[in-house]
Amino acid sequence: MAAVVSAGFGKFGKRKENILEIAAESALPITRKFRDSIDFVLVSNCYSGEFNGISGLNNLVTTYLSMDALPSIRIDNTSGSGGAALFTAVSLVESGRAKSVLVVGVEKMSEKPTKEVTRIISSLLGEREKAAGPSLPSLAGLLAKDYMREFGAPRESLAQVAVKNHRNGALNPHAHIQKVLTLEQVMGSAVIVDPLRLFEISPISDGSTSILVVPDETAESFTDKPVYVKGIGMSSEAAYLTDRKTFTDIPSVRRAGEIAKRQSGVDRPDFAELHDMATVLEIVQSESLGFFKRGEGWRAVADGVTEIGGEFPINASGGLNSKGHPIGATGIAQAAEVFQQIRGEAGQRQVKHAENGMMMNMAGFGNSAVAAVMGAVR
Amino acid sequence: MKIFRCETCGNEAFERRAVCRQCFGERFEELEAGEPQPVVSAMLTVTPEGFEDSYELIVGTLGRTKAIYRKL
Repeated sequence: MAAVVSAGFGKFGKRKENILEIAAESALPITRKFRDSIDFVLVSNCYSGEFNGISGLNNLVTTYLSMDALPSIRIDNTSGSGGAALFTAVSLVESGRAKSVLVVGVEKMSEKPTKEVTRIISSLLGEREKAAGPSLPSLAGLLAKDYMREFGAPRESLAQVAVKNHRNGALNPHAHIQKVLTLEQVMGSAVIVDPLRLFEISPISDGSTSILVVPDETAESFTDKPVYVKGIGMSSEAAYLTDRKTFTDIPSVRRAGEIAKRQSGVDRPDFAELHDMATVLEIVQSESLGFFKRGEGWRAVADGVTEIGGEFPINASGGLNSKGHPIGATGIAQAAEVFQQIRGEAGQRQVKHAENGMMMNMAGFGNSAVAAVMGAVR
Repeated sequence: MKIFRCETCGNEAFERRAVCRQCFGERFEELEAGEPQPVVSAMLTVTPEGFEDSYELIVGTLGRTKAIYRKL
């Protein structure tokens, strides 16, 4: 078993610094304390080539941190890069190949115009599908329509996810958007893709988050409050959307969650950080992961179940929706939020009785997913 | 609109694969399947670079598979 023993946070938002400076912001708090023990570095990043004109980012990051000789790998799995990096870090320490893995999640994407960012991100689609001109948010728009039609969910129930997540994000000092929004403000914001509005879709963000992953046997030599990765699963789905039966269930998410829950022995964690690139995705993922019955996730949002003080808090961090979505950093930020919550260090957004938490990081439009159950006790 | 049909099992797909996902056959014919029937659509007002500024994105049925296309 592996454990997370430290986390470093950078501010998400539109940043003027370059990508190496942004990466160092979250990595340095860890390397200052644990430099001598780190023997492997993973850099979770998707688009340094497209956004920053940089290749070999992992080696540039280790050099910038003066860890020149350490082995390092850049992990790219689109929006799921962070989850894939966590999965790899856990595998490295569990196999004995590494003893202490620094995972740096970073992306700098705000310098490009929105249309260019949209084109770059949609490059993960199949050739003929891409030629039709979809954006990733547009797929969420299609999903929203399918979901509302299939399950009778009111339009406002999707927007309530944005109200909740912005309220949570306002309590998170690392969040991109720290602004409480009313339902009227969400519903009155600009249409991005019918029916979804501006505040229902994650912003274009820069930022980094880092964590340190070690074997459970040595975890207590790093901290008196390690957080154990009790179960972790990864699963994929066809990249081609036209080969999928439905949008309203995400099989990769469901299978990854099943593996993580089975491995951990925790069927119902106390809270979750999900991949709400758009509001409707948080609801559908919460159903695919088995937290709510199919078609009833929207009711949980409407009833306040997923609020920080509710029975099953989701995205206490603000989620991608408010915290931001610097793509390579997102999955690591989710793991770091679960780490903070379990240690009781989440400040005003602290979830009560946070003994076990799940993070679920999704690539593309469910092209793959990593879910991990993390907890205070092995 | 064209689709790909597996010559071994007849499975149809909008996107080309090297291997049929149903029978693992490796031979496909490309054929005309007519016009797709719309199932769900959404109007985009923020679109990728290289495309018009606004259009309707549609998922429809096409033969025994699905298609994605846009309408201005």
